[in-house]
Amino acid sequence: MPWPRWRRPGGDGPMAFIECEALSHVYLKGTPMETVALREVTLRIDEGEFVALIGPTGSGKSTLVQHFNALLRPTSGTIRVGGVDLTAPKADLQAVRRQVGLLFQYPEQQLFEETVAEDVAFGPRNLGLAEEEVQTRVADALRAVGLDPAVFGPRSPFSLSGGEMRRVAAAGVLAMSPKVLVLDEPAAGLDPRGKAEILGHFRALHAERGITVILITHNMDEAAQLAKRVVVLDQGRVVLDGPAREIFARGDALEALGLGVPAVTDLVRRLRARGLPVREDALTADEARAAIREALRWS
Amino acid sequence: MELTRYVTIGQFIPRDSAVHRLDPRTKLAAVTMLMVAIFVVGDFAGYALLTAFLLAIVAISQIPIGYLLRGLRPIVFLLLLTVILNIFFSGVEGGTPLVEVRGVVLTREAVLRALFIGYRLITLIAVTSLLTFTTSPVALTDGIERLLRPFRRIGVPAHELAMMMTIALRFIPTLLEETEKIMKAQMARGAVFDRGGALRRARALVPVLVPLFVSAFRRADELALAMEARCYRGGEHRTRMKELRFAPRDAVGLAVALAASVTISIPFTVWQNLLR
Repeated sequence: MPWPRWRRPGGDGPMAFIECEALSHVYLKGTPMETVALREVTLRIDEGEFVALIGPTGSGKSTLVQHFNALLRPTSGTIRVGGVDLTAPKADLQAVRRQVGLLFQYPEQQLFEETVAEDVAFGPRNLGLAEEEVQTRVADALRAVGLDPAVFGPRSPFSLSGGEMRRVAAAGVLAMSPKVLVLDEPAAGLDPRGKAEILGHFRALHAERGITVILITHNMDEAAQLAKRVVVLDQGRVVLDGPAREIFARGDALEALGLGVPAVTDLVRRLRARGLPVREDALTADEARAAIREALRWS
Repeated sequence: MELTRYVTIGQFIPRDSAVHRLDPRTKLAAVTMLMVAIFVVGDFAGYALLTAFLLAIVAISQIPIGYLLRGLRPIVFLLLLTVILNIFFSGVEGGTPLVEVRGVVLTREAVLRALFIGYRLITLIAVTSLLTFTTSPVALTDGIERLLRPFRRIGVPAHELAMMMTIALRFIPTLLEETEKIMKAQMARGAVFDRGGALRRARALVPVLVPLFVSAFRRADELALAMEARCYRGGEHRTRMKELRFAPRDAVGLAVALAASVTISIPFTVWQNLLR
């Protein structure tokens, strides 16, 4: 039997969980409002990765991730998720949506139940799980986003603060226990503390449970601190793809796309412009401090 | 899943055409005249002329004909039902029998009449769609407001009606987009909308409708606040940035529409007598 396509030939590297090939998507095809959102995107994402997806507004990020759990079908090209070809007419889309959890932008707008616990239970109930299992998952998911099920469970989701609502919505997706978590700007519109909190929970989920995370963000600092790999989209194409360190070292390319660089990278670049030979690949404040000390010692 | 794909009614397709440039009042008047004509037409010659005229307008307005016809999709069922009911219950006495089905006689006249009625519906929708395709919602309600102005004396709140229409039209696409987004979000949580019986499907909509209403009220609130912040206070003494002005082309447009409506309305036999 030949090797399944997602396995790297000869290697025992991690399995590609999501694999797109020449994926294109055209909105409203055949109408005067036709717009091309994705052009021949080829991308693979392995199990256990933490990928940041960045790109200017309208570059196709949200469109791309909606293919990952079959909410959108490609206009052309193929996509495989967990070995299942989603372009096949009989693909089990429910099974795919169970594996790939998608948290939309401003997800607190999807809350509808009377209590937080009921709302989080919506997903697991749709999976047809036993009530006991549903309750376990609800409690587990709420704890994973730092909300005490005993305190928040019986409250109305509409009585919560913005950050809390956002975390309840995230719990609603986590309760599906997905293997892959796709987050579309999960921190947008939150105050700095809410941002740090929710991102901290996602980082922990990735580190402790090994969940694959795909993070769409406009904030380069978030991308630099969280992701190991960065994929840059522009006008529906993948223009850069590689380890976060390498991508952010190419500040000129990012700025040409109208994207910034992380604050740390910006500092390093400015120091270099003033003649201090600091290493360019620092991503965190600690790394930058070390690099600057090093540079000062030699100059 | 693209809801906007299926709702073409009320959509505006910006193009730079002679039809687009006409004053909205001219277009409203022309549409009214044509609608009257459509109801009066009774013979093949009239329908042929009407069709030719509409095709000419479509060509001038640069609206793809396929897109215009797509707007008919939601009413296909209604159309078929109307035609079928009219074939059987036309009330046309006598005529040439075509077939007999279980005691019901289908006459040539009844079938023709039913087809005419069906075609009438199609042309009515085509005409009104042409109006909305070629006129921006703001221009359209502006035109309606101006046309209603004389009725203010008898208590018609022209400005308020126009403002309500503008807002409603403006929010159709927004709410559709929102519905789509919420449906997708719930589908990502395993919701299924297209399976099960009527009751189950209706219940499946609760997770969509609740957030939709919540956000619609929030939007209404924000809009009211934004309008107040700009000192909006109704129609009295309001001036406009773009005044509607009749141009020579509007006179031409009205004349063409009137001529076409009259020509179409007059039965062919009358024309024959007139021209003899």
